[in-house]
Amino acid sequence: MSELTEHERTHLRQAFMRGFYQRSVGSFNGPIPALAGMPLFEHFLQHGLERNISPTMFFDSAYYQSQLAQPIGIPFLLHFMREGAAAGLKPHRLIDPRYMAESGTYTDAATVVSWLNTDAGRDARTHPLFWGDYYLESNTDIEIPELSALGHYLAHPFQTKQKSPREPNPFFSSRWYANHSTWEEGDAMSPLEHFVAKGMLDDLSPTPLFDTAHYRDESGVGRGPESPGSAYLHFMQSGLWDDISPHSMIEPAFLRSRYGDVIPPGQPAVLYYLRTEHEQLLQPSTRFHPRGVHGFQVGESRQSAWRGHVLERYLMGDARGTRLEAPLLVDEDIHDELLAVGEIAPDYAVAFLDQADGLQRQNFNVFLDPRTRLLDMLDAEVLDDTKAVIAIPAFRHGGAELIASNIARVFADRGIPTVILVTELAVTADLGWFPEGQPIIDLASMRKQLSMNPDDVVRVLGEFLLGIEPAIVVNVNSSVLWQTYQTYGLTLSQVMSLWTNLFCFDYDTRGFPVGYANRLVETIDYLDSILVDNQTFADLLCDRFAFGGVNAAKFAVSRTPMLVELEVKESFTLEPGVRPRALWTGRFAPQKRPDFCYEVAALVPEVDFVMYGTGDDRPPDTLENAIDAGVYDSFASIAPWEFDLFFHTAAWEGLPVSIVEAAGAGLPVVAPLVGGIGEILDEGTGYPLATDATPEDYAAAVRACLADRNTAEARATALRSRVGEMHSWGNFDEVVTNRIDESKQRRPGPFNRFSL
Amino acid sequence: MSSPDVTAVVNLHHERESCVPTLRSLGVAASFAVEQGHDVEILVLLDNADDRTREVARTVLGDQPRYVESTAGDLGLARNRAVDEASGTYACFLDGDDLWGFRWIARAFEAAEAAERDAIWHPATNFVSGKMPHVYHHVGSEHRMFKASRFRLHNGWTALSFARTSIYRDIPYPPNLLKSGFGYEDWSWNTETLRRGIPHRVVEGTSHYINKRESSLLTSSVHALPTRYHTLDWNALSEAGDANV
Repeated sequence: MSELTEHERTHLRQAFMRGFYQRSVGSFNGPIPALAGMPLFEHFLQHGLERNISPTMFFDSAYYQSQLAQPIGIPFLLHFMREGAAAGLKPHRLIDPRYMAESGTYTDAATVVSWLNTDAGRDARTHPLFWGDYYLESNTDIEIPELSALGHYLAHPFQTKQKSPREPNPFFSSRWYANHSTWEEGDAMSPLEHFVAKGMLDDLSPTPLFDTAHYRDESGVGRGPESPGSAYLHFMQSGLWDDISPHSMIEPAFLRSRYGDVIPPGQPAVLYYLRTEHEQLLQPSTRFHPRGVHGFQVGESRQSAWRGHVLERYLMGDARGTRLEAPLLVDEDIHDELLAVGEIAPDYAVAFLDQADGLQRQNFNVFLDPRTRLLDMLDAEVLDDTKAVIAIPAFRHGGAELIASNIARVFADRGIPTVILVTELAVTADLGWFPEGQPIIDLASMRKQLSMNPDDVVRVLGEFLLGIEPAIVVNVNSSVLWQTYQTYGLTLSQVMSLWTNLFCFDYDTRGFPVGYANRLVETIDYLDSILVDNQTFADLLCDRFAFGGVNAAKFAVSRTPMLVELEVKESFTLEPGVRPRALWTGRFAPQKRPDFCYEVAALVPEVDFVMYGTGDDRPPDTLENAIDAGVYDSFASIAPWEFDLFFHTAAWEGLPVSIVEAAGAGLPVVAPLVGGIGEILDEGTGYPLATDATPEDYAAAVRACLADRNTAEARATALRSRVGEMHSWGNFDEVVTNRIDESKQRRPGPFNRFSL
Repeated sequence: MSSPDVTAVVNLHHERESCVPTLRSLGVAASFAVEQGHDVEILVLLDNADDRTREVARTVLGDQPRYVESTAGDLGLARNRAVDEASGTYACFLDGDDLWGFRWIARAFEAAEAAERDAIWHPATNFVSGKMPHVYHHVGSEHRMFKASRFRLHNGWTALSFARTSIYRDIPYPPNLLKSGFGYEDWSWNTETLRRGIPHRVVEGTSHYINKRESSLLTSSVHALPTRYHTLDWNALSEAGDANV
């Protein structure tokens, strides 16, 4: 290392932060002489500098190193001062000397690190996204700052529990970013650093006030290999100053037309709005008015000079439901009209006048009500060229999701852009079942966030579907979509093909059939296709509701395909001294009758009944051979081929996937002929039982299966062969594809639009 | 004699004394328009009206207006009857329990005259009183946020419109069939005019006052669809509406 010049020494001393350096030495991972007995700055010069231990929070050695193309022979900080600054390198992610020079903030890049530690640099804008002046102005509680704005920001990391986070610029929401990025509590980087390092690369938005897609539309700034930059950065560097709209609810032209006389010359309209909206309840566009938002109270924010934007809080979903505490803002002309109407008919005007004049607080409906909000949220998620929508109630390992994913796969194979709509329970994890490129839209979370009543959700869903006009909508057990079919089925069916999938009836405690299938009576005229997984159920429905002709033809049996190639049971010989094992899988719920299994287990004590599944009605401890094996991830994971038989006890069914899978693994099956089970199970393929069979009948069937293993093997082989034919992917694909073609014939309009 | 600039129509039925504020707001708005130099004809359409409602109308408005009796028994058809009788270049409608802001007739007329083409005009703001008082802002069909396709489930504009009388003649209101689930003659009319490429626009600085009674037809059938729904060409509407934007 060449000797320090006096100039360099002076700037290093000016940049030096004692406490920061002490902590840096303390966390240094390597040998270094102790601090004791030596002035700290001398310690830095003699030991810290060459080890690249930074003496200031404005120089990030690791970040600096990441910018170097090759190893250098001198300490990073010196390199920056001597060469790096001139070469455009940055001392820290949030310090951009070139930006500072271009904006006239500070021109001597080589000494920027020390300059920031002086009074002159206290409120500097060090980066297009870090506005020191804004930071200090919006955090008036920082009374005697010992640090610059940037230093304070870096030294006080954001915590999600903070009520009023300190933000680096008026267009940044740490909480929003935390919820919409990979940033996590305790992250070594601040949200802004994280955004600069990662979020910008993914073109994320760090605030609900900035809609990336909208901005790209408005500004014409595309994104692609030629233009990989961040739309948000573009906005902060130029769009803001050019009055380009950052969000559909913020229109600079509208702001100029309405408030042009008070917006200071040279100030971006959107900035003026953000700065004063809170105090004056400015309207940012024709689409939004703060007076319509519930739950907003003037003066509730600590940082009232800037923070607490009604629109921001509205978009974040935390402003709703309580009393409006803001004055009603009306044009002067309309205020005159209100007064005139008040003279004629006080009932029509007084409430609004009181609100407008601040005399009384009233609870008004929102102008942009949750329905509009939800519609916007849905629109933001959907693909532009969506041609099919598949709705499911939840997103977990269940039958509805399995069927939906199979239909989605057919659509994907046919090149039909499809979105998956999850309507009742919020999505918590990716299933990995759906084809890539099919967006999962979490309507359940959206409606929960907006606390919407079901009728409103139905209406929005109807509007949403009409807005995107897909060719096909498939309902796989979504309650809200069923209601939408019932309410708007006639309307929707004019322009799109409505399908549904049904599994089976449920039955109440009286034995009455309940469930979605009952809704067919009201909706069948709107439907083009009704997919069921077994013929028996289709026949039952046609018989029950007297569906014939055109309506009967709407039913199609789409048997759940067996997609996983399971290992096949090889030996049917029972090992002497080893207890036989029967496999039972299903929900521990009345429909599956686990209690029936317990009764059979008690009658057949020589066999272990190993029971897998979710639910609370678990096997009793008193029964040693009814074994609670917990839940399972997949059928293959429990190695079904190692069991001696598959045991099924459901009271009602469609055609359970578990039996299909057990057949695929080569297991002999003992099951009642409920639902469509009889379509694959008979005396030649297994051990069928009557629907009213007793536990003794089941016990006899189990013993028969275990007594004659040659017959058991022959039946299992026959069952596997039958299931292989009936439940092939090819069959499923053909059925769904045929339905697409039939829908196309029936309603050519929607399909012609897409050339499907 | 030249025809008046505007025929201001109020539709009455069995409102009795409850329509007094409506008639007064009509009188004030007409007077203001006259003060601005516009010629206004007031037409009171009494559709199967009772005697008390007739008396109230004459008491408030005097003998100056034209009183037209009809037996249509339907709001949409009654409006058509009024249009048949109207002699103004433009027409506008007021229902028996709603109010106009005093600038409505004048401002709407001035906006229509200044426009480069015919349009249907609506007030900027509606103050809706009743159990759930709220403010509803109209958005014009040429606004970029307007989506014609959504019009299928949501009527974007109230019935109290202002337009050239010939438009109302060319495109009459359908009957209100709300009881059959296909009501809202105004929704249907708004839709049809939009489909024909006539823009719907907003008159800035104007307001209407809607009384949304609990028993109001407006609230009685949430899921009703526009009258003549089946005969509307929705795809053409979307194209026309989107082309408008």
